[in-house]
Amino acid sequence: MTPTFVATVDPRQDEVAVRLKGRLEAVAPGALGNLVKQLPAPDDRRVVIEFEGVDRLGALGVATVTTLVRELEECGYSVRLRVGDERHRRTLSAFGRSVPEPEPPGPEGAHLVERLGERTILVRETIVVYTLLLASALKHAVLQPFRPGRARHALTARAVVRMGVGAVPIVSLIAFLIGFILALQAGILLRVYGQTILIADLVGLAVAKEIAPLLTAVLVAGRSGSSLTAEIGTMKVSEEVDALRVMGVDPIEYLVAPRVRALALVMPVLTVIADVVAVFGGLTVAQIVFDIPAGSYVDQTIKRVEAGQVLGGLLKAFSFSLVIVSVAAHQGFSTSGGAAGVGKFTTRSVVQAIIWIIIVDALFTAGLTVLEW
Amino acid sequence: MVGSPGITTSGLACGYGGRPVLSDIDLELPAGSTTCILGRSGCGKSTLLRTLLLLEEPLAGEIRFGNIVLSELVARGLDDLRRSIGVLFQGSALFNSMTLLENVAFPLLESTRVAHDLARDLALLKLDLVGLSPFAHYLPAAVSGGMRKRCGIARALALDPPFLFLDEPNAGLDPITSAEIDRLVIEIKETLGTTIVVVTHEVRSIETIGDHLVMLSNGGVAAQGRPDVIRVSGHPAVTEFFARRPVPPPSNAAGGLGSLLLPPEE
Repeated sequence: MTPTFVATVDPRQDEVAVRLKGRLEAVAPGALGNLVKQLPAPDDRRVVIEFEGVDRLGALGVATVTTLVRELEECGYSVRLRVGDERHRRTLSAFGRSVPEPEPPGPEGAHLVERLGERTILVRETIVVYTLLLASALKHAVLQPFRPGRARHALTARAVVRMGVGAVPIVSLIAFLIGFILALQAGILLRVYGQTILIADLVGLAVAKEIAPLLTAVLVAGRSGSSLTAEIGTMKVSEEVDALRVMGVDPIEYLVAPRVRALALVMPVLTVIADVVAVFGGLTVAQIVFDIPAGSYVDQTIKRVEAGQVLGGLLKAFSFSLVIVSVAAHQGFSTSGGAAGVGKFTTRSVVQAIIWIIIVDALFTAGLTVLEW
Repeated sequence: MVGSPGITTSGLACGYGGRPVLSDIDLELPAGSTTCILGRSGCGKSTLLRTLLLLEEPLAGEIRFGNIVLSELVARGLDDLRRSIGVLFQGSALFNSMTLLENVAFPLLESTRVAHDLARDLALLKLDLVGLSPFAHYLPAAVSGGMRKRCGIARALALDPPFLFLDEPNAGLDPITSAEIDRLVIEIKETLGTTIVVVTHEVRSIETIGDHLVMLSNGGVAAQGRPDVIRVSGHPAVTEFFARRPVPPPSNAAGGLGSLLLPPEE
């Protein structure tokens, strides 16, 4: 094994020499720290670092030397470098510029109340922005079909297929499994009381009023909200949104309004599908595990679940569709920072959409309960 | 033709978030000629362009397109004005989901009531003008960067706008393609009488197409006027730009390792 690097201290009459020998690149910056201890106490002699034995010098080596020099100067030594090799001299001059000190971290975290206030203002602003965007999108969505030449039927139809038809399999699968799970959990409890037929009530009500709209909304936010954000975000990053604006085309009217129309139509339909499939999931469990005849399960469901309750669920689904589009569009239009930005804002879009869906759901449920819907 | 009102600004300040990048911009871009806005990277060329394109609100001052004062316009008039401006963006900004033909036909279908077939034919004419009619049914991703730029120009010309803005049309192109674009710009000006504004820093291209130059430097207009006049004006920003002379970086020897070096003979 070849010796990689040696530093020797050589006190002389008029100066203290530190001789570097070998591959300076092989030492980590700061590894020369214990060298300082070997030096005699600071007096009027200067310390000279000699580079005669250094064969290769790069940025890493210069960083090591810079650290050493800084430590020596802090201890009160006066340091000079003796370098014969012209290439080394150039390297030291090029890389050995004074590195700016990193800024000390600000007093972050000190004012919790202040930050809480800032966050509150931010949330309020966000709500205002979402509302404005939604209002504009809704206005266009309502007026759009009546404008000759620019009714955007093709765009809307495409969105219906992508957001709606494409989501049917996944919504059905998840709805079936949720119905299945609910029925199993409820059945085990209800069997104790000999009332397994009430599985139909429980599954039917929970699904129609709550689970189907919520579940559909979360799935659609993940599937279509994210893709809307990514699409608008990519267009924003590649100046396509600007191109629309300079052509006198309102990006909200062109990109968002057809999506609002499509999703406002698609979400209730998907919710109805989820309702039916989840009841079917419950029925499967009831029949196989708890020996309830399919006919009486269906009868019980129809008897218990009222049309108004299903309608309430569909109303929720409709409002979730507006939440999903406005959050997704806002995040899309806010995108900046290239490809990484698109990824960041897409993630943010899904997370925020789900949060707002649940907030709206809570408000809705509270409202409907007060109104005794 | 030169001397009739093109685009004028007075006391224009532009920037982002209330922080001005450029201020006190008084421009007179003559109609029917090509104006090159030049300056070093980061000097505010794109900001000025975005403000002229009404994508950013001016912080102060006034912009006039011909006899139209921008600040007096409300939404409807603004859209009309926008239709009289064609823009080629730096990255072409073609719609990626549409073919080249659909891209060029898009402004026609959006802003006019022409029938689909007619829009198609008109778009083909524009594509032919930039030499891209054989590629009409290609998607933007399937053609080269130079072709995308040319298609972007065709799209900008779709509505025969009296004003055409080109943001770095030559950036990243080989010398031949770059020269082709320059020739196209001259052709457009001569045949259509369009008022053209080009943001660029390609000296060769400026020499070929520029009828009027605006040099930006240090947050304002350093010089503007006809190229032959401006180049002999002796303004340091202009001289340095055309001589391609780099400004020496600030000496950083003080405090660095370089200052600790002993002279070699010692």
